[in-house]
Amino acid sequence: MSLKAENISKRYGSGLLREGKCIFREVSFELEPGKTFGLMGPSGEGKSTLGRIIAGLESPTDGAVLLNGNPLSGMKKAEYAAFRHRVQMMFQDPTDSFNPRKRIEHSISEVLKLLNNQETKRLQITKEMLKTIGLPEEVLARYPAQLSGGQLQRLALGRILLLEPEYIVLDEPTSALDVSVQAQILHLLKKVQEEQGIGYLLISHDEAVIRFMSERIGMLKKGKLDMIRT
Amino acid sequence: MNTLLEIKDLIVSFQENETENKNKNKNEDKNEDKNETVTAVSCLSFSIREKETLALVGETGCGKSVVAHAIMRLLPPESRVKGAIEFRGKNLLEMSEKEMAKFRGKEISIIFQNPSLALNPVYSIGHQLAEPFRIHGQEKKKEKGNTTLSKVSGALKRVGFSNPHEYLGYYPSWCSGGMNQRFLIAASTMLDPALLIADEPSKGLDRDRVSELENELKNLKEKNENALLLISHDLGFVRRLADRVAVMYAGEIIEIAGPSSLFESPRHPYTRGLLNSLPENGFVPIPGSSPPLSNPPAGCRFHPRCRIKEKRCMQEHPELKESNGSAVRCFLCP
Amino acid sequence: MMQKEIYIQESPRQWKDFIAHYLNLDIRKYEKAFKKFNRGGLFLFFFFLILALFPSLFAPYPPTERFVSYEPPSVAHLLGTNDIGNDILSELVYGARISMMVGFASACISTLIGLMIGLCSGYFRGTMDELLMGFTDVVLIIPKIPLIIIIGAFLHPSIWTLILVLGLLSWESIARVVRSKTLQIREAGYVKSAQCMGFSSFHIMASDIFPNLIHVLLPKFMLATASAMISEASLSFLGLGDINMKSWGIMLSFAFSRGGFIRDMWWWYIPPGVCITLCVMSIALIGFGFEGKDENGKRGVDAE
Repeated sequence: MSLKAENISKRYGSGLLREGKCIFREVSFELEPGKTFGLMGPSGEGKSTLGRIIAGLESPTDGAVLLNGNPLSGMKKAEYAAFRHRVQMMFQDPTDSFNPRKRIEHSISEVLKLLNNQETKRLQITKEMLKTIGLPEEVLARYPAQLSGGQLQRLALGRILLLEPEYIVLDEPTSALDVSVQAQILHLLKKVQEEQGIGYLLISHDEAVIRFMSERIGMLKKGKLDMIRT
Repeated sequence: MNTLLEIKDLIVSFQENETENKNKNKNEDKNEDKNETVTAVSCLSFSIREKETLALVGETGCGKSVVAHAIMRLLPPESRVKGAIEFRGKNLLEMSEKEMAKFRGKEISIIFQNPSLALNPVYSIGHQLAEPFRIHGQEKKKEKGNTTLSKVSGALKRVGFSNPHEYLGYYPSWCSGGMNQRFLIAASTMLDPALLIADEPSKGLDRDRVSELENELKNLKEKNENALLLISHDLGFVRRLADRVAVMYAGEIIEIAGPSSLFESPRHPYTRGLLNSLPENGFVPIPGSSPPLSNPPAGCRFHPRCRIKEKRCMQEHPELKESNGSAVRCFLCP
Repeated sequence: MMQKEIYIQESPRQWKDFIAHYLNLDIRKYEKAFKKFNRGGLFLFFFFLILALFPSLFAPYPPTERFVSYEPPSVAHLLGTNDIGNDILSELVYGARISMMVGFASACISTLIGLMIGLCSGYFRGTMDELLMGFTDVVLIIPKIPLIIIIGAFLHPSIWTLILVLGLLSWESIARVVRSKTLQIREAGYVKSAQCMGFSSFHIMASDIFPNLIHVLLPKFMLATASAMISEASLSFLGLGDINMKSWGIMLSFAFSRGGFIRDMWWWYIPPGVCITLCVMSIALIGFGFEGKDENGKRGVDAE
């Protein structure tokens, strides 16, 4: 399965008469399974917007995101639902990625219910997931406010992995974390990638993080994408 | 050089009172610790000399901001503070709130994390910057307007604005984050405080802005000759600015040393691990995670994650050992 | 390490201390009093609730039983009797049920409508938002009481139409508040990731957004109840109420039209007025109490 961005442009605030502000123009790249594409650039250049477009949360003004050659915008409902599980997104702020009013257990079993798992199987799957991300089972009974940023970011990754995605858009996954935790998360991401062959789109303003993680690197600057390493 | 600020055996703990707990764990099992005491800072001692820059480094939740807030006496009411914070021989913790209010800004001042949030959006820059003068009563009623304004513009000039009069009428939302940061630095340094505390000034800033801020703080050090307590988790930033670096772990200082010796030959295993997880050293993580402050491990607080631990580390709590200007809290370090 | 004098110091709350110093006014004292007041609100409310639920326990006579009319208070009739000889105390007790029912039922309707409209327009945004909010604005500028009077005049005056009309005309402020809160919550990471994982919009609204709205909804609901009770009283006073179900407002209306004011029979018109005031006040106080306790789910130990 391939995920491709073809000549994507995004404008904000455009109307009938106005052209609107162009954020980036005709950006194209491709994600490969098991590989990481690093996207860097200064803040405010639309890196996150590009990530959300790839994850299908926003639609581009021009151009298309192609999944196996089919554009996202022309998908039927069933196809789109399948896409929804295949491409996931991880966000910057770990304290914000879980509903503060639900226990972690609840947030996770909700996802398993969505996938139509049997109740008996759910616990087992959850346990396996916790093993993968290296957290004890106690965290399940906690509320998000009682966990640290690193733990929450691991859980966010673990919850995404339950859906068995093929691509994950990582939007500044470590920039809210401490250096030592950042190193842990990056290693975890690498380990997961090796084990499950997931393709990453890594968005970060930190060049060192990008260089450490990615096989190919693109720089989004002044509305254009320049390939730095291919 | 004489000591400006000395902190002796500072202990800060937070009692999570029952009503809060009830709200938090609404219909929850009652056996969950009802009166959890979180000791954010335990037996912390350090001193800052005049004109010195001391950096406090550590991970999120290790208690470094609590230290800053304890010095400014800005901790929330449910906190308990023990020990002594002596500023030029005067214990800040014994002062009344009225005395303390006079102290803040004039003798000790703080630069907060988020520049755009620390400025009030509905007042102009000039108005906000003139506020320290108004509060600390350095002006007589007659000479009100002009002298204050010229002082403010002088302060703005110091932080690198070439035509400060123009900026006096600006509002924070008109300016970039970097400019706001400089306004804040100008505001905090306007009354020439003897000690400036910068609480995570580089957090959430772009690389360009971090280097801008760095230059700003460097200039400040050269010109004003005030001491600076720099609290940060950005090790590169700290390395370039600090005269001494104190590393905190789980509410304790585990190592104090000059930046060159700390970064080139770290002694405590945690410091070594921290440096190894930096990008330039290849993101080698420390296994495990920081212990909860409500229930730190016995013995050395780092022992569960330490690679070179001995039996002694698990039972005894090491003291901070001092030797020629630097100190380390580890049995195994010479 | 040297053990110097160790003592405990409670760090004060800054602005309150400031006020205590400069204005010589200790807010904390008033705060405690206010909290007690709040508890008083709760107590009053339960008192009225019990009156409304079990009126037969408290009323000395059935409300329709007739005695000598226009009697002043006596041991037999603590608050006297009215123009047709009903015992006023009994009427008062039975009226609690009707007044409170009108208040709560119409508040339920308006909260429900406000929640639906606010949630949908806040969550879906775009055209839906503009249409719904435009409609809300239109409803918002309709003068309520005159409209209700007109509707009341055309429809057969009954308590149900009153509930319906009050409920259908007072949801706009709730919708606005819910919408603005929803707009804020929908940008949160957990909503975004739920969307990304393919949860349905309904699921996200019900299980992620709604629980975070409760702390704004509850006080709004209480205040809507209070204002509906007042509207009911004023409408009944104007003679648009249901005569078969005597609420406090209708008692006032009768006291006015059947000579209670002229004869200076204070036991006729003061008790229902006091009841309305106290009941509305208790409900409003509870509402304020809820308002204070928001966002307690997201708090953690800020030990940094």
